[in-house]
Amino acid sequence: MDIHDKLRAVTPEAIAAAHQRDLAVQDKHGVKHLRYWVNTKEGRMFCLLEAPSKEAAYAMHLEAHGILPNEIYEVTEGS
Amino acid sequence: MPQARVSHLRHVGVGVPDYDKQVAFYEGTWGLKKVDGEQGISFFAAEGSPEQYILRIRRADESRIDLLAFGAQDAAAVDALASQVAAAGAKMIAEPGALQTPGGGYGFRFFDPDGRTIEVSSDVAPRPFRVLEEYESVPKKLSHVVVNSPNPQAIMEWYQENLGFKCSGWLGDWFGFLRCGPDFHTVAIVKGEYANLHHISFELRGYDEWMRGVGRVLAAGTPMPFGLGSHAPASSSFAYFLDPNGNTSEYIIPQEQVVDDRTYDAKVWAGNVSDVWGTARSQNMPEAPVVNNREVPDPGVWVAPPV
Repeated sequence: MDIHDKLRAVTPEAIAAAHQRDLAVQDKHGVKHLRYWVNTKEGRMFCLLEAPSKEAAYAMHLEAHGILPNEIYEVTEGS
Repeated sequence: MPQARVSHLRHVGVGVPDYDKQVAFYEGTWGLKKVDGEQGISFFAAEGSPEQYILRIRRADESRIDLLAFGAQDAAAVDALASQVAAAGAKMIAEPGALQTPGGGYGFRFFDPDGRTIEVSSDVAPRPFRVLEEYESVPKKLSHVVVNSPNPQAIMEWYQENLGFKCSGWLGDWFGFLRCGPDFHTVAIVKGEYANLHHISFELRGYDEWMRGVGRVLAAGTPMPFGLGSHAPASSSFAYFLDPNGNTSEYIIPQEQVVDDRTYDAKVWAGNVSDVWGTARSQNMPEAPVVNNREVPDPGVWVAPPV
């Protein structure tokens, strides 16, 4: 799970475009996007990914669009 | 509008007379990793960045800026940028070609209109990096560089027209912010009598890591003329220190990031936006409560570094 803080000028169109760029390069990094959540007003975003490492997830963001997560955590799902 | 754009800031190079102290400071107290070097020149990476190096320190007779280095998407973008800046009248230092510095790559150098040496490159090999863990208080990456200029309006426009930067805003009419990616600023231009270095900024992982880093740098006896505080522009928190050769370096937390360039409006700030917490007046050098008031010409202006 990665967390993006302090995002500005967050529009659904720009988020969708960035996500398409993620999808275009994710295989190269061994990453698979599962879901994401966004708060456009407060500039926060949360992405759930399957990735071989935190570094792979970070490198994918860097190559796709440069919008970098502030934090990346390994998570397990609760019920 | 330019066809080609720089993609990010790769590194900043400086020349300093007290080389040994400078190298020891950035490798030890500051928390960078020396990755390469030979007699009289050292290259420093950040643990959290895939850039080959983010800071270059070279032994020089006088303190000076050596270069600002930016990335470009690919070799075609490098060539296009070289054509753009040449058409704008910039004086070339080295035409596009293979680079001999760590990581290799393809790039060129030129003087910007103030006489700073600028390098633009692509295809530089990345270095292994790691995502920093909680409480790791070393720099994650190079955040931005700020330079003084006698004419910030003209330089701001030139960087937008010829390198593809976007204006993120101004403090009054004397401090302009430029971005070349999502980060609010990668370069800023400040009104000054001479074209010289204002400061180099290094990003830490978050607040806790930033505080721990600040504590370590202070404990080493490093002067902190301005900090701890928070700026309204970039929504970032800062601590400015003086390194052993009198250059200003900053520890910053991650900046705000612009997602949609088309809907982001550059702002103009006025009033007290440089210290919104009201905490930043000098902690350990009250005689100089300013970030940088360097009042001497930089001997590196219009003089390319030998490396």
